Amino acid sequence: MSKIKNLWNNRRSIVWIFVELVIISVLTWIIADPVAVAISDASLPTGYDNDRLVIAEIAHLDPDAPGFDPARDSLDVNSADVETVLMKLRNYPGVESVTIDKGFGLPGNTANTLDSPRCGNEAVDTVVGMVSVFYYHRGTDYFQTLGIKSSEGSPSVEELSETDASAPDKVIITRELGELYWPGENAVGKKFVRSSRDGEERFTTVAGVVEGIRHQLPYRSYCAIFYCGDHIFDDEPQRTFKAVIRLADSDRIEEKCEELYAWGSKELVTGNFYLRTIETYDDFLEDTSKSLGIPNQLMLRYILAGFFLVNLVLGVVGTFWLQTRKRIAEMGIRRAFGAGRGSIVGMMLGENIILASIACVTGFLLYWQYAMRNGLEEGYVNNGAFNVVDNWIIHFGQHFIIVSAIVYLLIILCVIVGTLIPAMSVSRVDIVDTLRSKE
Amino acid sequence: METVIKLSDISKVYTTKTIETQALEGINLEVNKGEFLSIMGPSGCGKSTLLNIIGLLDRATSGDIRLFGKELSGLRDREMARFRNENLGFVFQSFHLIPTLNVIDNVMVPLTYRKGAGDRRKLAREALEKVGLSHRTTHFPAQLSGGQAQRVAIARAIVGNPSIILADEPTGNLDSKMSEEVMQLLHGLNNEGKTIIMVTHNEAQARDTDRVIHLFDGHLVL
Repeated sequence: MSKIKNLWNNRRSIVWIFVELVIISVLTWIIADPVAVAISDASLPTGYDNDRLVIAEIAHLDPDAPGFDPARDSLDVNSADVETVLMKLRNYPGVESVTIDKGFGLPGNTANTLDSPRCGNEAVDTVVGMVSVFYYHRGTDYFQTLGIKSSEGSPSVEELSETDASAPDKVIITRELGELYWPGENAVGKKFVRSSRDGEERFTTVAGVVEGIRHQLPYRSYCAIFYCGDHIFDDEPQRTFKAVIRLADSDRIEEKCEELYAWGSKELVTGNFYLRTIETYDDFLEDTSKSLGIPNQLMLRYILAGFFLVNLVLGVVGTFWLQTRKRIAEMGIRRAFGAGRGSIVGMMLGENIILASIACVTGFLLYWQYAMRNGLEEGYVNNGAFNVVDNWIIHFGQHFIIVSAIVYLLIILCVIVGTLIPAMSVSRVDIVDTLRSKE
Repeated sequence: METVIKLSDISKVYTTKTIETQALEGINLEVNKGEFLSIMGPSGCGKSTLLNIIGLLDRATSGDIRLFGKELSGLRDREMARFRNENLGFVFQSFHLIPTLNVIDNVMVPLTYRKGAGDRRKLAREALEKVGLSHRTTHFPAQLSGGQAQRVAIARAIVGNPSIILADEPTGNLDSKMSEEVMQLLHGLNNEGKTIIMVTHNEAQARDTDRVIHLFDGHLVL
């Protein structure tokens, strides 16, 4: 109570500090919100296990390239060569499983597409929205290799990897999408309505449900549909493709990539196919992210936040430092009449924390008015894709409280540093000297 | 008579990087309970330094200081602060009121640091009544005359009922009329049994006290 009274008595000299703190709390909110959301988004699970994954890019000789064998370019021989490459990789020591990606199959791939299936409960349209689309290939251990788990009530991933979802119109969906369309029900056996290429609408049955995966980092969507990519193997000879390899363990993964490349450069030459590159899945995700410009955007956010933080620290610490040093004579008087060093430090710290707290609450309420009209930071959400992650970011109240708490702690930390050091110094100054400083 | 203050061979040396200044040397002094003692001497002779050492605001370089028979030289900072709070009251030449606190809050400052002080506001009001300023409780120091400010300072010095009051040129910044009022207050307190030690340049005021000691170049002159 005495601290509040002291603040009130000092109101003329601290009003500008109060105003400064209100402005700082609002600005810190503006800067901290996107950073907090970006960090939270980055910490969301991917839904697949990329720790032990490497990607081998298998290229195909051009018809005019030296060594091209026209005899092996027929559809049958070409397909057999693809199978041979995959078999060689599966037999390589330390490889657990291998799957193939001929495009649109890998989470994190920039090329993945969006679809807008409608929920057709016996031809009744209930939801329209965008979901991510992935293509897999039957018999290639797709779900096991990527580490995607099947959901409760769904066939196992081993069974799902064998599911030919192209005929008769079956798909595999993520649990989140199932819950969105059929809340509280097992989605297996339910039907979608999809528009086919010829413009006709037809039903598609859910053959299985797997746990959600993120379409692309850092997007938050977990809604996806997996189609069996029938058209790739059967239409024409395969050219470049990716072999996704799950290693038995993640130790020395970079070295293993080099060893695999050294071996594969010779041993994987099959027909017109050869090994072009090998990289870890993490590198692949990083490259994808770079191509979208995500790291630059994040870096810009972090740099801005860092720059602001440095200024915040210097500004607030400096202000409170000066304000505390200004009271040296008063502290001398108080010490003469019995105040110990601890009570001097405690008094100044308490007063400044109360002042900063009142200013922060005022600033937060001001920002609240703005946020009510303009919303809070949403993070990276796919345009039109379902955002089904039920976390603090999408709940206005929770979001506001969490970011406010972060901002408050930051500012209070600065106030404590800006007060504690000079207050301790002031409390140690000789009483006679402090009294003289007033004369 | 009971000795409340006993200084034995007190010396004080101020040391900077280049020079050492002997402010006090070999000071021996005893002050009895209820005594009104004046310390006189030219500027820079060590009067205020001596008062500050007696008041535990400063530490002697060597020598012993006993208040109420208790050896205090080795006390820690917190213990000294507590001793000051409970036993000593200070009146300074330039008042040393806290400008952002009103009169009654200024008077309450010593009680803030005392446990079980009771009704602090009531005690402060009583102290202000004693110095004739009970009608000025909500005024700020800047709204007071010099005499009034010094009376507030005296109220602050006595609010905690200390046995010893140390006054460093209490009338140094006041005109003769106000000086007279302040001296009357101090004599009144002395009559109530308070031990008072006052540094002064005013010989007339010193003559009115029980005893006068003179300092010259840091030495006690008999």
